[in-house]
Amino acid sequence: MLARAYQVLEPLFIRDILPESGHGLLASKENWTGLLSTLPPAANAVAKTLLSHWDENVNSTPQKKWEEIKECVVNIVGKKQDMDGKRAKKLMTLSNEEKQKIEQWLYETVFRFTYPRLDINVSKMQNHLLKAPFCVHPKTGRVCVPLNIQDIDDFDPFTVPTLQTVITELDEYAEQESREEKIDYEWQKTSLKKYFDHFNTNFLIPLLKSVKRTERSEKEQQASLVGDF
Amino acid sequence: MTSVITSSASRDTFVVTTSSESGHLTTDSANSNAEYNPILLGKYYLRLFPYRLFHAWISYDTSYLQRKVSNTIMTQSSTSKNLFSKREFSFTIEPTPGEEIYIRYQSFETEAEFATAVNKRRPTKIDIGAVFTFSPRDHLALQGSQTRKFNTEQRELVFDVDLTDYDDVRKCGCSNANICHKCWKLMTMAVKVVDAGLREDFGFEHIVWIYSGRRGVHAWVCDEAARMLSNEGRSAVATYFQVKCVCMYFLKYPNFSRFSYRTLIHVV
Repeated sequence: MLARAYQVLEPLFIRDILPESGHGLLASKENWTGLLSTLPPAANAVAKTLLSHWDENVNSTPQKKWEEIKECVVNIVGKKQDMDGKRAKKLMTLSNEEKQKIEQWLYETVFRFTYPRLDINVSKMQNHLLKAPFCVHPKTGRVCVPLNIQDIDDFDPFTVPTLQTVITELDEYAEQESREEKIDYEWQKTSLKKYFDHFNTNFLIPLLKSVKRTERSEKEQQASLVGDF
Repeated sequence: MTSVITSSASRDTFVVTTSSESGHLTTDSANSNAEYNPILLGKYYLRLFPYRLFHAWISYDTSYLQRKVSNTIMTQSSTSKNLFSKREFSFTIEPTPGEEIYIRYQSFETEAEFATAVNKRRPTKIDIGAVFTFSPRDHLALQGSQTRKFNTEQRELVFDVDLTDYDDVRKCGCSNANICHKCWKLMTMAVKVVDAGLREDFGFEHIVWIYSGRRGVHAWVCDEAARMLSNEGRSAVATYFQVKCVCMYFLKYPNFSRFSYRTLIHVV
């Protein structure tokens, strides 16, 4: 699970957390100095080398910096043999435990900035209440719409229909001259359609079909038990 | 902002009085409050709330599959197991601005009854609870009964992720209820990781993710195996998604919050 999570999260960490366009973790001297200071004490020498290296190479990108950090960590834990003699000697003095800590720092850094933080108390109890889908948030006016996991990257909370938008859309629809589409529900006249259709087609119908299959096989099992075919 | 909770006449009803020091509700500049008022909400409940989809889902009513789609609200109770009438709903209503009343243990026989109540009360929030052994609205009458125990029977496995729990790593300048495109990326990451874990590691198939309307997302896992999970089973699944780190040097990090410490205590 963690390996998969890391595979999912590291590219997003590089894209959305490191650069200035994201959270800028490696986009300013202040930030990268802060990040390097979280390295285990055993890696202090590496941190110093990287700091002075980045001072000299002002055009280095946040992505490049991350690659360099990873390279150093890989060197420390001994998976690469191309170090110069002096550095290798210095690192030889590190205990396995220290090396492990430095390697863990890499994974933990990615996880610390990206790994899901669940409010697990909500999940733990059968009788915990949770806000229903399709409600409207009173502070934002936005409808609690279902998300499509297939294009979750394109979901923009700021374009979610608000109460004002959808009511206006209803009124506008009434004024339209040509209405060809068949309408079963009024929400089909508004921008909620995209979200509710997704809920219906990709979630509700497959769910109910599976419930039906289970009911049918339970019935058949019961029938075979009493010999009633 | 201070909230006072007082228990009122019925023990299922709580009154929450919210007073703001500045005299007005705090809103974020990006999340305008002008988009919402009780009249618009009334129209939404009357004409747009998807009662049919909602009822078919929450009662696992397979007759929805055969039923010819129509916009008339069903007055018949659903055939299968009648889960709907044993489901707890709770309404948050705001009779006057600043006064919130929270009503628990609401239950409804039919979709029509639910729709009527929603249109009458115009709740600012509807919460979904568990399916009980009896109709939740009768729960007081069942108190102390030896033969008719009022217990939970099933409930979707739910997850709640909220950007306020990311304040120590949100370097975009947002905090609390504020969000921006930069910090929303963290929600996208959370959805991807949890969804993949639920499907691939637990074999769940019927998962729906919902935007919570402001700064987070909810997941509803609706597979029967998930709905039947005990509290212990739910804890086990939830804990599975918690990553912890042994490395205490994280503690020296200046913005290391209570929350991230809870999340990252032990490396698996």
